[in-house]
Amino acid sequence: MLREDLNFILQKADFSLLEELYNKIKNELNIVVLQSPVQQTLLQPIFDPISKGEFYAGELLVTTTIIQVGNDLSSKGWAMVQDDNEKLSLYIAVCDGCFGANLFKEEIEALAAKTVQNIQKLQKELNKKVNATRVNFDLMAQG
Amino acid sequence: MGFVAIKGGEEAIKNSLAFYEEEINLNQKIDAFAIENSLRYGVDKVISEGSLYSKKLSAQAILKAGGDLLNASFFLRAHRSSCARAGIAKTIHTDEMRVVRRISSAFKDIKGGQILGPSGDYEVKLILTKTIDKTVWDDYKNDDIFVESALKPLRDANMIKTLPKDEHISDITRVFPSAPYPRSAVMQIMARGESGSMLAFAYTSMRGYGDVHPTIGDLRLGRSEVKFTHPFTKNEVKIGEIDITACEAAATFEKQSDGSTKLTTGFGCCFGFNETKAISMSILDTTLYNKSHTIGQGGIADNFEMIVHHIDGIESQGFTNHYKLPHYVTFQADLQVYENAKKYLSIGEKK
Repeated sequence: MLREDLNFILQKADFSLLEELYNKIKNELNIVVLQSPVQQTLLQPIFDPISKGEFYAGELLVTTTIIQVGNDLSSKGWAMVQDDNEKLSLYIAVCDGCFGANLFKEEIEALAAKTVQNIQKLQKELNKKVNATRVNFDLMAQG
Repeated sequence: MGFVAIKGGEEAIKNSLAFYEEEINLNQKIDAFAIENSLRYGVDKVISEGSLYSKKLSAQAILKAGGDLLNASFFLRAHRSSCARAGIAKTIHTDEMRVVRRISSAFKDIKGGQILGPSGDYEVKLILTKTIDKTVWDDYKNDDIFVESALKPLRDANMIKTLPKDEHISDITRVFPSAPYPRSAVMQIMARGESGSMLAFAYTSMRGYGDVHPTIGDLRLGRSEVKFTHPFTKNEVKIGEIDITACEAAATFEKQSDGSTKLTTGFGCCFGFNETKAISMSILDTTLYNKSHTIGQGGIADNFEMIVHHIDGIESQGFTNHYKLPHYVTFQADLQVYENAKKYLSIGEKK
């Protein structure tokens, strides 16, 4: 699992398990919050098939956090989560920093792996519903 | 006439706000999460017109506005302006969208198939309490569905008219352009336009002010990935997924300046599941860039000034509603001009 995978996957994690992991990390490591969770926006370009150019469809609300694990300047963690989600952003930033510093890596990977399974399960369930609406044309008459 | 400065009404305003809150105070018993997951088309309309993708805040804004979606969009647009911009996400290609609904009225048999998805199009419009027989979803395949536009084969065969690409992508939230409007600005204006206004302008092109009879080449509703750059590893990172609607309208064949004949098309794409808006946008895109669809003495939907300056819901609502604010001096001046005109007229008649 790559460090960059965590930002999205952990947004879908069981929140109580993520919070539990965060508390465990916080109790053992010195977490310095460099940038508290803050609402920001991301401008979203869309590809225009007619001109092969792009245009902006609007902005997305995201919540961004930057932390540092201990005094090591190289072990900074970052998270940018969708919508207004302060705690989620903070917890994921801490996991990101720890993962990058090889701290609590197994626990973080375990939670992420479990979450991936759940994401895939939900996606399969949605796919079944979508596929159920696929049109099969029956020939009504032939001249 | 002298100028008289007045102030007042503070108590009335405070009480009016309190009265308004009491009128809709049952909203405190409604969970915003329930709004987000039940009134999803209202929520999606607000994120699209508010131009801020936040389903959570959209649901809260709908509650705060007592269900007035235009006003809810205003709340979202205002919130947007209070947030710093982190940057620009990676470009979304609609052909990479994970599809939940896909329709083409131009082709019956298309790669990927016709997929109705979740839709109320096929229900009888009677307000009855009824339950659809539950489907056993496990009877169906669980394959992922990614489909390219049904018009892609025609595009690959060079049968579709192309337009010049903007070298610089306009951002109308920073600089609103002057005519001639860059295409990227026009598309951004339409992507955040008010659905009803866009529908009305698109409709003019089908009735008395144009001859567009578009075919929906491809309509897709689905989920696209939002990606950004991790600030420390500098690698691509997935931020989330957003619901979008994309529509490509196919119009008619038109002779080009190089002598070739190409199919004219229009593109519509916006946040959320808003298919009427995306279809309207694709029709307006067709009429704006293909004057051959205009009949008579000039159309409405083919006029850049008309579309660019009149489809923003927040602007038009603000301008229209400002007329109910005090205009005492303006109107008194009008009355005085009228009285003076009458006086001069009577003097003239006496002479």
